[in-house]
This record gives sequence, C-alpha cells and structure tokens, in this order.
Amino acid sequence: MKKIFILVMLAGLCISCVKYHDPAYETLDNYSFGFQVMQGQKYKAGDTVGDSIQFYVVHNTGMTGNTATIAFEVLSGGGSLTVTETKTNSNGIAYTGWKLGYDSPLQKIRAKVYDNDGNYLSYTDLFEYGFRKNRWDEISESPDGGIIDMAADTVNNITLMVSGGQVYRQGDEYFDWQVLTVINNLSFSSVEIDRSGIFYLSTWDGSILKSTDGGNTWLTCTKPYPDLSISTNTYVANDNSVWVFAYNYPTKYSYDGGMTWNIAGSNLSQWGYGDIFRMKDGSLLFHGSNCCSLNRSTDNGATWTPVATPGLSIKLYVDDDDNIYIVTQENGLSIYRSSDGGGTFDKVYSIFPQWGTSMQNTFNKWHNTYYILIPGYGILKSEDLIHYTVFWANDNLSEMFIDDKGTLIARDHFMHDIYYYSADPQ
Amino acid sequence: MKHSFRISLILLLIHSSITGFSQHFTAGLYSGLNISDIHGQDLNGKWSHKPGPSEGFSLGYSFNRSLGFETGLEYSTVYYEYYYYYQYYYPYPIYYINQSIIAPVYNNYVNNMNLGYLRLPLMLTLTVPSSVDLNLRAGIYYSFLTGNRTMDPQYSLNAKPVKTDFGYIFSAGISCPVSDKVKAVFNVNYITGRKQFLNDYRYRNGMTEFVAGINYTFTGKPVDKTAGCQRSDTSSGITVTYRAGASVSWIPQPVMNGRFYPVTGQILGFSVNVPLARGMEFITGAAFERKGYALKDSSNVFYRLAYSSDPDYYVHTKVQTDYAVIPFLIGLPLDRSQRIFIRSGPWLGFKLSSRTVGTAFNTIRSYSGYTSQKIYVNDDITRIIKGADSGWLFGAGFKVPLKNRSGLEFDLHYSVGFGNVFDDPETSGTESASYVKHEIRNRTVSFTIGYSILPSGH
Repeated sequence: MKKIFILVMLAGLCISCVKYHDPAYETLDNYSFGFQVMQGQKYKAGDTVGDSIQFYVVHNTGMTGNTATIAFEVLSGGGSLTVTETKTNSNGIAYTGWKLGYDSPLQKIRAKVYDNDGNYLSYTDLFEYGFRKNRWDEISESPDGGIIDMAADTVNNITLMVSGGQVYRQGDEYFDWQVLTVINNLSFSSVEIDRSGIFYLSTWDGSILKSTDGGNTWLTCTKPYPDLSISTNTYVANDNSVWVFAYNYPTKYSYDGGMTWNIAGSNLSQWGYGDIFRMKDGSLLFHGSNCCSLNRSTDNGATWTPVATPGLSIKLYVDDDDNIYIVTQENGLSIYRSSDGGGTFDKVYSIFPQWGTSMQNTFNKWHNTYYILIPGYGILKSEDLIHYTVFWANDNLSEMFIDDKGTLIARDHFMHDIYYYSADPQ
Repeated sequence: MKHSFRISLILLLIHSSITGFSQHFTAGLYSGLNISDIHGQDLNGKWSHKPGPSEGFSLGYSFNRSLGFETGLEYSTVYYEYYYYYQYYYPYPIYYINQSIIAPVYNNYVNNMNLGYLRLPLMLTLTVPSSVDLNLRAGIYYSFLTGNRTMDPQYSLNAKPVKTDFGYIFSAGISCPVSDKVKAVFNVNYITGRKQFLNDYRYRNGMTEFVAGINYTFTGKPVDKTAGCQRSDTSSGITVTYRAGASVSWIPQPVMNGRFYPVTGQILGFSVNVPLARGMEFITGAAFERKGYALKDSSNVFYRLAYSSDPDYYVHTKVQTDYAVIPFLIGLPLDRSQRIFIRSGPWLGFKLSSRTVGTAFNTIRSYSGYTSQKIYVNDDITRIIKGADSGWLFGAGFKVPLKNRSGLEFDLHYSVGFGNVFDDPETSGTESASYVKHEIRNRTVSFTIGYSILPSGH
C-alpha cells in the first residue's frame, strides 16, 4: 500500500511539472494588399481613372499568385466598374476599370478581399475626386483646402494661390495646382495683382516679392518695415499703388511698385487691413477693417479726412462708375450705395448672417456679374449691385475668389474645405 | 508589562520542555537546487523560473523533541531570466481597449541576472516526531551579495544590485534516521526577500529551494534507528497524514456568455489529526494546492472575460493559482470502527503564485492587410490575484489500517471559495468594472490519498 502512496506522489509530481511554451507569437496567415493607384487624384466627372485600377495581394510575405478573390464595389460618386469580382493573377494582381460618376465630387470604391476558400479577410478603399460643371464641389485635400489668398490675371490666364505658406499656379484645370518651386524657401501669406498684371507676394516676415512675368521670376521689393519681422497685409489699389498694413504700425504705400515706401498720414488704420480706391476726381478713398473708418485723401495719401457713413461701416467697394458701396453692421449686414461721391448713402440690401467676421475679398466681379461673399451667410449675386439674389446659401463660408477661368472658389471659416463652382461657358 | 509576561511564558514553556528531554546540538550539510521566483515584478514581461544551485551547512539546537532553532550558512546562486513584452503593460489596462491596440506580443529580448548570495538564516524549528519526522521551520535571513552578472540587450540596466538582503524563510521537510546520530533530511524552503535588490526597481528576491542532506547529532539521546524509517510507537492518538492527490477546480456557472471549463490540479501536503471526544477529530495542517479554471472564449485579456464591444482575442487558456491551504476541519466517524468519516470546516489559502498559460488567437484587419496570429500565453498574473482566499470544505473518506499503526486514508473533498480571487483594488485603477464580465470564485473537488502515521514518543 505504501508503494501505491509513493506512486501517487510521483504521479502528482509529474503532472505538476508540465512545461508550457514560453511567451511567443506565431503568424498563422498574413495578407498584404492595396490599390496601386494614388489616392485623392482629381479628375473631371465622367473620366476614367487611369488605364485600369490595379490591386495587389501578397500572401505570407512574398507569395503571389492566385491567392485571393477581390470584389470591387462603388461606394460613392455614382461611377461604374468594368469588373466587380475577380481573382488575382499569377503576379498577385487584380484589375478593374473605374469610370467616375456625377453624384458627388468624392468618388469612392471598395475592394473586399477573400481567400481562396471564400473567407472574408478585410477591405480597403480608393477615393478620387470627380469635378462637375455647374455644381458646388467640395474638397478638403491639400493644397486647395488650405487656400488663404488668390490672384488672377485674366489677360494672360494665370492664377496664383497661397496655401500652407507656399505659392501654387493653377494648371489647365481649375482644380489642378502646381507649387512654384522657384521661391520655395520662403513662407507666404498673401498674393495680389495690379491692373498691369504684376503679382505681389507677401511673406510672413514682412517681405514683399513681385513678378512681372506671371510668376516665373520674382524680384524682392524694399521691405516696408525694414526693422520688423512681422506679417503684413498687402493691398493693390485700382491705380496700381501698393499699400501695406501692419497691426499697430502706420500704413505705408508705394507708387513705384514697392521700391520706395511712404507713411500714410493721420494714423490711417492701424488695424492691419484696408481697401483703397482711386476715384475719378483723383482723390483716394480708404476704409479699414475697423468700424467707421471711411476716409478721403486729396493729396495721394499723405493726409486723410474722415467721411461720415450711416450705421457702422466695415467694408468699402467702388465700382468702375465711381459708385461707392459700404457694408454696415445694421439689421445684420446692410449694403449702402452712394452715387454722389460719398455725400449721401442709400440702403440697397440687408441680410442676416449667422455670424460675423472681418470682410476681406467680399466683392468679386466676373464679366458683368458681381459675386458678393457674406461671411456667415453665403454668396449673393448681382448685376448692378442694387438688386441682389442669393446665389448659394452656405453659412460656413468666410472667403471667396475667382480664378482666371471664372471658376468661383469659396472657402469655409475653418480653412479646411474649399468649394469649386465651374459654370459652363455662356 | 504584557510583553514581559509573554517572554516569561515562552521561557517557562521551553524550560518545562527541556526538563523532559535531553537537549542536543545538530550540524548538517545539504545541497540542492533553487527555483527562482522574483517578487515585485512589473508588467512589462515575463520572469521565467530558472534553476540554480544551493548548498550550505546548518547548526541546530533542540530544546526538546519538538522545539528548537537553527542557523547556518548557505550559498546559493539565483538565476533570473526575463522575457520582454513587445508592448508594455500586460495584462494591459482595460481602458486601453480599442482596435488600435494589437496583440501584447513578446519580443526576443531576454534579460539575465545571476546573483550569488551568502545567507545567514535564523529559524525556529518545529518537529513532529514519527518514523519520518515532519520538520517545519520559519525565520529570517540576512544575506550578502557575493557576485552578480546582468545582461540586458535591450536596455542598459545601470542599477547595480544592493550588497545585502533581508527576508523570510518558510520551510517544510522530512527526516529519518540512518544511524545512531545521523539523519537524512529533505527540505523545501520558500524564501522571500523583503528588500529591493535593484535601486529604481521594485524587484525582491524569491526562490523555492529543494535541498537534501544529512544532520549529525552531537549530544543528547542518540537517534533511534530501530527500524530505519519504520519506527512507530505511539499511543496518544494524534496522527500525521502525508497526503497527495489530484483535484478538479472550476468557477461557478453560469457566467455571462462565458465558456469556462474545469482544470485538474495537484495537492501535496500533510495534515495533523487531533482526536476529540466520541471519535471526533480536529484536522489541520498545510497543503500545496493548485486551483484554477480554463477559459475558451473571446476576451481582451488572457485570464478572464473582459471586453467592451468586440473582443480582440479568442482565448484558450488556463489560470493556475497555487495556494498554501490550511484547513480547520472537524471530522465525524460514520461507523463504529471509525474507518468511514465525514469532515467539514473552513480553510484559509495563501496565494503563492498565479499564472495563465495556453494560447490565444487574434486576427488583425486593416486597410492594408490581414494577419492571423497565434499567441503562446505564459504570463505571471500573481499581482492581480488576492493574497489570500478562504472558504468552506465538505469531505468524506475512509481509512485502511496498515501494520505498525499506520494507515492509508482516502479523501474526497468539495471546497467552496467565498470571494472573488481577483484583487479588484489592484486592478480597479486600470480595469473598468463594466468590462469585466464575472467574478471568479474557487470551486474544487479533490481526491487525495494519505499515508497516516502516529507520531512517536508520546
């Protein structure tokens, strides 16, 4: 009996000495896959993406071949596919063709991957953009989504854009942008153009560059505030004079294309932004971003005299016939018009935006049509700046531009989304 | 005053014992191996149990047949080996659960530490005389670091081990005479350091030693070797039973959506049966018991069900927790010969260690691939198990008498744990209770065979 007891003891000892595997992991199965097409490319709606869409599958580190079945499907945009289900070929590639649709600018397809036994593994998506005519198309991709300024030369068909500190030139399509590498060692804050086609670029440290050949070469102007390294706002008036604003510093102007600078008198707008118009009688009109700052100068900007405005004026525009328009913070926002050089103003339109901010590129003209961007409301349309219609109500908008092709380009307040509107030629 | 009274009482007890038994000195030599069991480990990886040598000599003094103290000098080298986890914090906090967290895989970096110690123990000894004496010892030690080597390929382990250590020793063993003055001894020593041996790390030394040797008695009555280890001449009725067996443990069902299964374990220990009136017995003792459960289900951790919405792993693991269990039972005979009996009473279990072992599977799906993995789980989860458990035991059995008043005892026990074995205060800071799907209470059915003998000399 005692031997039985000892045997039981020994058996228990053996059971307790089970050796378990040390901590480790082992890959049982592995697939790597993806589209061999760049994501986020821009096409016109109805275009075909490349010659074909290639999708690769690699099984267990290097094994290719007929290892997977791919099911393609259209998720958004309304496009169509030539192949919806196929096996990978001997090189591990599956093909399909993708024609973009017209339902939305964001076009997306999905590839679901199955092993040869039909077991679902995973999926991956491919998205591209398909831009449509006569529709607002939204895009958040860089660089468009970060646009902060734009200037267009409609004579030579050149549009420059500033986004993310870099300058881009528009390509053949309005959604096609190429970075200007000749000046890529600087960081830019704005771009302007005068009536002779000279582009002016401002940098975040207060320097100004100009180009007389559509952006191919650039000349550094005299620095308006040579002892300061601060961001400035540049404005080119309708008489081609260049005005520079810096917050809390005197406004400066140049009549020789930025070579020499003069200080505007009367502490003119130290709020960092303003609009200048040369009237047909030779006087200058100015309004800053601060309230009620309409001023007139009869000595080319050396001294200024305040001009009374109704309400709380915040924006100035002068049309080709010297009619003066001011936007006031009255009943939401109101547009006043003066046809007697600022002697009297008549209210022509009022609107209630959702929110308010400084108004910069407000009045935009293409051919004989005005597009007026009201931040917090959307875009108004007018042929005479007396009668207005709502062109697009979108209370996220805060900025708007028109390129040399007449494409309306609007940006949201968060500097994230950009909207293109390309109309069919009239 | 109270303190002085206690000391006086102890001295009186020793003195009264001495008068009935000739005291003697013993000296012993022993050698064996130790299995490292580092304490205070972090959750960045797994410390493996590694063997190392232990040897030394002992000096003992016995006041009587049962009580004495022992000191000596021992040298041991303890090997620590560490497998880093690829990601930190395993079992990683539940609040990290999301799909971006992939497998807490293990990488190939291994850290080694070899530490040599010269140890001076001082222990009280309690001997239960029998044909095979049961020796229980407990005490403290002070040790000196005599050599060390660390190798850490991933991080430079700049901290040097401290030069001295201090801790506790708990020991159980057996001895039997082989000549007039010589006994063969076998001891299992559990050694737990109380001092951090690396600055900036909370590691403490720990090991379990298995040593065998001889003890030589210098004075007093010579060792009785009448029948080698077959001696038995008792009459008081107190019996010592050495028992071993197997158990099946599980956790109560049903639990929410869980699939739990029983696991087998081992029991090894001894019990002391003290006869009471009318055949009743009081039974206590100590036993090593392994309890646990198996898990086959989906979870985000490897040792229990815990997940938010979509578990990351399919888990096929065992949780094995080792306890030192002390029962406090009352036994009642069911027949006149007192061979068939029932037993019941509470028990206390002290956690020794806990591991989760097995495999886990997970699939990682992404926009660029699919990976199916098998993870070999072998993780120390001692830190998140409560230090003690308690419960109630119900049992029945029968005895088969043998010659020399020894016998075999067959026991079938059903044991119920009262509380959750997981240390919620330990994990509450990292685990959201809503993710944990159940409590774990020990349930065990065990069958043991015991060899009982009556202690000699009463």
